[in-house]
Amino acid sequence: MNRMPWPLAGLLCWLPLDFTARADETASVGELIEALQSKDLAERRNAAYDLDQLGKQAAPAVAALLTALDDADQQVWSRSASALAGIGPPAEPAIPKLVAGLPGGGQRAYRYGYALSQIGPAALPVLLETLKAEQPPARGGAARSLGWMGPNATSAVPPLLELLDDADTAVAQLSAEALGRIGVVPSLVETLAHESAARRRGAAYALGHMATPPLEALPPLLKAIQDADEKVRVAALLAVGGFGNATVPHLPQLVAAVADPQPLVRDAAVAALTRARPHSLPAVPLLVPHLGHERTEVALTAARALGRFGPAAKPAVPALIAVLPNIDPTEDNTTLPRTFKRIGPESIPPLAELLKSDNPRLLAMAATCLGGFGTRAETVLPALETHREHADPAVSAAVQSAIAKIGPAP
Amino acid sequence: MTTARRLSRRTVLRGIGASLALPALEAMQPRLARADQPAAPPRRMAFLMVPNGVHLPDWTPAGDGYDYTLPYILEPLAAHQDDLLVLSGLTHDKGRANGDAAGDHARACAAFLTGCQPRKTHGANLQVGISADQLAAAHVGDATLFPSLELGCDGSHVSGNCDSGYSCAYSSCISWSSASTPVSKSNNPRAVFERLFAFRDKNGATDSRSRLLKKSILDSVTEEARGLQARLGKTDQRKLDEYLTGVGQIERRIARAEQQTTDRLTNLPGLIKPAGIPDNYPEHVRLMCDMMVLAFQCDLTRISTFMLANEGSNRSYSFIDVPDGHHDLSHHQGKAEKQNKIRQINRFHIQQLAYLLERLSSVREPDGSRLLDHSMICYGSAISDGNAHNNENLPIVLAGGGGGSLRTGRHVRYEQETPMANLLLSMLHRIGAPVERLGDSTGHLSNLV
Repeated sequence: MNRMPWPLAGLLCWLPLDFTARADETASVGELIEALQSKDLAERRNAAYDLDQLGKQAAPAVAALLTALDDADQQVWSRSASALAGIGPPAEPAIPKLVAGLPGGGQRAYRYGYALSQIGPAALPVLLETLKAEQPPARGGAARSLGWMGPNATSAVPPLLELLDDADTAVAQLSAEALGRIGVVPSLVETLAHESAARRRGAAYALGHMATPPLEALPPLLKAIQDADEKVRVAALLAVGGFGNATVPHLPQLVAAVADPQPLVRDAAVAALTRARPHSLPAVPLLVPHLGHERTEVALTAARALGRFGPAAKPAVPALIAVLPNIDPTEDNTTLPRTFKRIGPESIPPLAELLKSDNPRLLAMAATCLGGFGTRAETVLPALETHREHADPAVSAAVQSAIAKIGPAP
Repeated sequence: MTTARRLSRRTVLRGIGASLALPALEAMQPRLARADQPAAPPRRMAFLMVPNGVHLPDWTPAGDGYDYTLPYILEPLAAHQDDLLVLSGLTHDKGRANGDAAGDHARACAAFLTGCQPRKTHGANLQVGISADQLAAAHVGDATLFPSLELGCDGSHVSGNCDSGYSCAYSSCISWSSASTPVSKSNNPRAVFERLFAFRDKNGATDSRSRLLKKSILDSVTEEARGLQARLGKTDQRKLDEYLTGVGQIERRIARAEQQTTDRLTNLPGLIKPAGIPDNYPEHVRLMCDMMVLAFQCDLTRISTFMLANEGSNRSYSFIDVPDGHHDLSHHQGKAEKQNKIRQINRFHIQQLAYLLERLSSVREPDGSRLLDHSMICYGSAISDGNAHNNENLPIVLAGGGGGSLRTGRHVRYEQETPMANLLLSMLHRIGAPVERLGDSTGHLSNLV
């Protein structure tokens, strides 16, 4: 046995094909400023490119870069905006022009907004003012830019909270995202009790999208799971799912939401339990009783949630099997097959037992579930073959489909 | 009864002209970590690029979050839906013309992993930016024998005008080790295999005796393999056996593909195809996927790129009953017949991704987890719709758990104009390359975890 020869590891990349790089790599900032004003497009582009690469060292070029924002060439103005972002606070003189570019939307607004965020606190007053602008793209652009500033933009929290009510849904969404990035928890928690549902929803969204889930927000978020507005319930559930281990004592509340009358909320409950894995594993036995719920959609939601736990949901297999007779395969023939498949091949023997049933609906569902396992269910092929020509066309179709998925007969 | 002994992670099987790296075995775990907490496996990263965009109506899932329904093109990924993030809304602004007029394919391809606008030239004065894979290789590449592995099914052309004034380097390379240096990819399975497993002397020079003797690499190391088996525990014995079988199968498939290609060329005297390049495209793609998996499995590299075809490729897909050229079809002008053929090609490519994911799932790390759990496989196109040649809302799938750093199983929509470079930056941080900026990035991509 030998050790791999080691010393030339770094040289063993595929043949790098070297080309002569730029001739003006060592140009000074002064020369680049001059080149940025050249009549020659290539020179201006190169200068903007090089200034962008310089980062903070390009600070003496702020005035020239500011002029270059008006360049007709997209590459020149875009690189110039990027260079101003790299310069940061010393690029303050560019603020008015950058803000003026926000209402146009698109890539220019995106790049200008980013540059403003990198300039930092000096841009705050004008951005706060822009939050009141008439044009939605301007309000949204200012909100996005403030969000990029993060905790430096705490003074923007009150107006951003107001924008959660904005008639323009894009502006409201951008404001919620910005609040999540800025992260003033007390204000957001307080907003969870606001009379406006849009504000409550935005606050829940923001709390669920902070870099670190704020533990002090968990109790009010749990309360928001019971909100009268379904969209608030959705946002609160999704947020709570992000709290990981801290959700464990509150799993019964998350599980209860799988029985919500609104499908979006039920979906959010599944998503929350999924997001909280593996801490939410104790939810498995709590979900099982819901499989017997009188409303089929609730039982199927509980099944979907159980599937998300994979093999850890094996104890639920008998209860899931018991659900099968209640499901009309013409209405839903995907949820339970997916659930069994996610839980794993230990579901195969009890499903195979169902092939002895006289109930056509059960036979069809069992066959569909078994087919989902593909070749892993090959041991049930003989039993499936006995139903290939079943008198009920739904059964024979399900059986033949399953046989095709599992593979050739032994 | 065998007694398991500790092995170095760098242990190789050595034979005549061959040096076969080994997969991670339990016996390679640090002594203190072996009992119940094996060392965390390393993270791997790969980028797969397909040309000419996709048929977006059959690519983008209708729902968001978990439990979205896979659309037609993505259906072959059903077995791995829980391992995927389908990412919509990402944009490569630097793939747009931005004043440079025609040349969308080359430009988009050059921007794909760099996030930079390429200089429009077909001369030697290339300029774009360092690609994400090469940045990763610069940071973590010294941990493995090969800093990175660049694969493709078409050749790399580094000169000439391929697309309206853009150099062929832009449309045939996605890896750039500097702003002006494209990294050529290999499209020859034999060359890749021998590169991965050829014996090197202490100066790094390879030994081709195995090939000259027409001896398989596996045969060359049989004796050493037998000796090693005797020193391993039962789990490792089984793992080594599976691995050697896999290597042998790949070697035989390469030989078979070469033979089939030679046979066909004999009957087509006018056709010139470089020796060693299979003309069976599906097999070619899968061989490359298999070697990427082998390289990851043996920790020969942690970074790879794979261009399933060069950007703007007009390859025919007759084997799926689409004999038309891919690029020609992509300009479908809204005609349903052409769109249908495009989605067949898109689905075929996704089937190859599914194959790669299946292979990555089948390899177990010493801690029992799947190789896929520690991988980040970014698949996509630099153009969203081949007819419109647009660069917003790019079709992107990110597969694998990234060592627990990705919350998979979801379809996530981002605000239009969100830079694709933000995704690349986020992946770089996860692989251990804490760069501050990549191309036109504006920060990390949210909602990945």
